[in-house]
Amino acid sequence: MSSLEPPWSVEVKVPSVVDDGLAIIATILARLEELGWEPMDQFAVHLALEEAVVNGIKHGNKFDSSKQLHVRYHADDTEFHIEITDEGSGFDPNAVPDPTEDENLEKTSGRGLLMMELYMSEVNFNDQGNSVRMKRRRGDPINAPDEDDDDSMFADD
Amino acid sequence: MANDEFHRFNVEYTNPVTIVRLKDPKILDQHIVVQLAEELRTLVEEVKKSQLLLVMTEVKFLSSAALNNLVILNRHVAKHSGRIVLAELQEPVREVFLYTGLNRLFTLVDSEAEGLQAFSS
Repeated sequence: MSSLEPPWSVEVKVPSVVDDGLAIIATILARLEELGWEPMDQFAVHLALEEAVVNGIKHGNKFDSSKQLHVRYHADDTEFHIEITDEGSGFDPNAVPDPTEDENLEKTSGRGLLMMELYMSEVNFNDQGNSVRMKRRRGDPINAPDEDDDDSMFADD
Repeated sequence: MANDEFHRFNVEYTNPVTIVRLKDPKILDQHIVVQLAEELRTLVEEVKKSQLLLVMTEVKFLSSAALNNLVILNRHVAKHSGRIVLAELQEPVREVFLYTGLNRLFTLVDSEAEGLQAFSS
């Protein structure tokens, strides 16, 4: 992860319950609305947060009520930063198969990670793989993959 | 099965295509995703409809869980020699299908009429 710390303005602990996860997403989206972020930017953040929060509760904390999601974020007129950390053992994002490959199209894994990468300006996991930092610059285009681009988190190396 | 049996869509039975008009602007919430998947599965497995035209005019947001459930539904439909065609996708939703490669698994069309035609081609 980058050593440059965003100016975190909110820190919260969220129980491993989907409804609580959805509540923090609603709070964040309301903040972006207040700041006048355009619908496309809100859509992008909404998608990425839904994926990251639900993944953290479901796959990271495995719905264990004794575990929490640690969320901190900052939103201003131009940028949104968020860090979501679960209390699970983590995973290797580079080991997730590319869901856009023909042989994986009918599988159901990897698509959430891809959505996060497409719709956020930056997505970075810690070494353990239980914490993700995401950033969206207001007005950034979607990270549409180039057909010949192998430089993604799904690369084989 | 009547429309009031389903909460997440309106259904119109034509022959042989069943037109399913999704009602939710946001298919992100886990509860909605699960209920929609169950209702669509009911349509395929119990009502025995496997030529499905999903009309997505109202849909603005779609999570990967919703996409995954469509992929699973596609497998069920294929078992019954059926097919799914998606019509009237709003641009951000169409982009989701393009960038996830799912436009190669599903037929995307601009209108209901075009969707109905797709089943006869």
